[in-house]
Order: sequence, then structure tokens, then C-alpha cells
Amino acid sequence: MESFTQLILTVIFFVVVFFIGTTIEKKHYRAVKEKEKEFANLPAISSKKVVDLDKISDSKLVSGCIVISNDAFKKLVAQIYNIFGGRIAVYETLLDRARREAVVRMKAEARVFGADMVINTRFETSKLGATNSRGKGLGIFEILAYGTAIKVSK
Amino acid sequence: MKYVYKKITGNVNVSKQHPLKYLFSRLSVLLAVVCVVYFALSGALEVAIKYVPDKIEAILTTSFFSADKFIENSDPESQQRLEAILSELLVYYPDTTKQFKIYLIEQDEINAIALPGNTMIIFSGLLEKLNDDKELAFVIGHELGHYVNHDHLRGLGQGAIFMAVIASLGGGDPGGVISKSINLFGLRYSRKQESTADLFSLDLLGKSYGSDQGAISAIEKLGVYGKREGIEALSTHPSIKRRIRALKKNSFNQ
Repeated sequence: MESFTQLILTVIFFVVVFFIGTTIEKKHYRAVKEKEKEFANLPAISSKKVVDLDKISDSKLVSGCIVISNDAFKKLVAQIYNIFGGRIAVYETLLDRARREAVVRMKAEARVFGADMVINTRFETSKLGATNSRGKGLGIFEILAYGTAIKVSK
Repeated sequence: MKYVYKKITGNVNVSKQHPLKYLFSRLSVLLAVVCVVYFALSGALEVAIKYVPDKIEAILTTSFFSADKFIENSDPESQQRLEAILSELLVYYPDTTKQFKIYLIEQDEINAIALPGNTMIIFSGLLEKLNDDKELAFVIGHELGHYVNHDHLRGLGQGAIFMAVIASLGGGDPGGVISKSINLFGLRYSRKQESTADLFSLDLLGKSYGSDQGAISAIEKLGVYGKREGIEALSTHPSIKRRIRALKKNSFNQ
């Protein structure tokens, strides 16, 4: 009796978490896409040298950072991938929107500075939260996008 | 060079895959594999338990249960009563070379246990409820039935297989789904074992006492005093109704 109730409750829990997680993800994607459109005319590129140095009137280090967590459903799916292998789509969407959000935040800082573009854009990522001896952490990641915002004299 | 924004459609960084669909398909594959391994090992166990010598059983008992816990005996009268019933039943036990020990434990629990190493445990709660010797004999016979069918070893072996299967999943049991599912499979098996033990006890009771009257009343009493019954498919024992029906069907003096 007990194990059956637990099994049913577990399944219900993960299905509910899945729907909540999906809703949050879709909402986040919508917001990210909206902001990407807003900053569309402010390019962030990875090249170090785009214009001649004497044309740059001002510059500043800008960064955008996001800390994102997986949910119980993603964790469960990841456990199964751990056995079968393959591309973990649930984590791909998680990191994709985190990366894009970080860029958008970096651009927002650059816009405040009044930059024309961000050059030498880089990404950094780190894992947060305690990791126990069995390698199980909290599943929290930080994505940091940083670059040099420049003003180009016309 | 002039920068022109160009919208990129689609997303190469994300695989197209429905996570819920993936989860259920892979989980069922995993469950199927685990079940095949589990049943294969259970089949091997089925063969192995028939050949376990008493010596090894005794070692198993002492390694799992501390023997000195059973020796303390505060009620010699009840102990004698149990031993008298046991020796009466053992006359008709299929394997007369076997030596059985029976211990009484002061606990309100209404239960009896068949441990490896031919050691039976009766809880005093059971003794109080079953005041008739024949009823008690039915319960002891039921435990003897577990020995005939090697259920006591099977229980241990299946526990070990269960642990081994779960441990071999490496990253652990995703969400505990696998272990809970295996548990459900095990229950059906457990009910079958209990029914077989019931019938063995009924037969033994008839041989030893000339009638099997105590059987049904014992089950009835356990049904009344035992904890509330849940859904049968989710219990270790068959329902009281089903047990009584089976006993009535096989009883020779009714």
C-alpha cells in the first residue's frame, strides 16, 4: 500500500513540477526574446579589434550575470540520461536561456553607458551550491557574459 | 562597415525533444530491463534456496539477528505451551530430521516470524489473542509452512537481489520510481507464499489434531485484531476473506 501511494505521489509530483517548469521556461524565453529585440541595434561581438583604436572615444568593462537553477523534473530526466547517455535537451534549454539572458543584461549595462557596441565578449560559467561526496550538488549555475563596451567617434 | 541586425530563426543550441515523452519512454525501458534482471535473479534464487544447508542458515541467522535477544524468556509457561504445540506438529512435518526452535518475545505486536536457521519468533501479542491451542497451532503450522517452501530464505535473497539491482543503477534510482515498482511486483509473490503456507498449516493441523477447526477462527481473530486492511493488491498478505474462503474450500471436516 505504502509503496504504491508513494509511487503515485512521486509521479504526480514530477508531472506537476514539469508543467510548472515548462510554464516558467516559456515565460522566460518570451522575456528574453523581447529584450533581445530591444537591444538588437547594439551588437556584442567576440572580436578584439573591430575599429581603429583612435576612433574609440570611451570604453568600459560591462558584464551581465545570471544564476539559474534546474528543477526536480530536469534533475530526474538528467538521472536517466546518466544511464542511457545522449543530448540532455532539458538542460540545453536551461543553459541557452541563461546565456541569452546574460548577454541581454550585459547589453543593458552597455546601453546605460551609451556604448555603440560591445567587443571582446566572453562567457564564463561556474557551478554554485554545495557538492556532496556523491557528486550531487544543488544544480545551480552562474553564467557570466562580459566584454568591453566602446563608444566610437563618428 | 555598417552593422545590420539580422534576425536568426530557430535555435541550434536546443535539441527538439519532448522531455515528458522521453522520460516515460526511457523509464519504461529501464523498468523493463530491471524487471528482466530481477526475475532472472529470482529464478536463480528459487533453485539455490533448495540447497542451502542448515549450517549456512545458522550463520545467516546470527549475522542478521542477534540470537541473545531471543533467549530472554519472562514467561516459561507460555514458552512451554508453544514448545508442546510445536513438537506435536513436528511429528507430521515432512522432514523429520529438522530441529526447530521457538521463542517468545514480549511485544504487543500480533505476529509471528519464520527466521532462517529454523528459528521461529512468536510475539506475546499473538499469544494473548489466540487462547485456543489449535488456533495457535495453526499459526505455528503456518510458519512451518514457510520453512517447507523455503520462504524464509527467499525473503532474505529477494531483499539482497533488490538491493543489488538498485545499487547497480549507479546514479541511483531516478525519483525512487524503480524501487517502488519492484516492491509492487514483490507483493503479489508474497501473497502467494502466504496462501501456500496457510494450506500447509491446515493440512498439518488435520494430521496432528484430527481436525482443522482452529484454522478459520485463528484467521478470523487475526482479521479482527490485526490492523485495518488496505487494498489487497497492495498488501503482503491475502485478504482475510480470501484466506478463509481458501481454508473452507480445502478443509476436510466442513
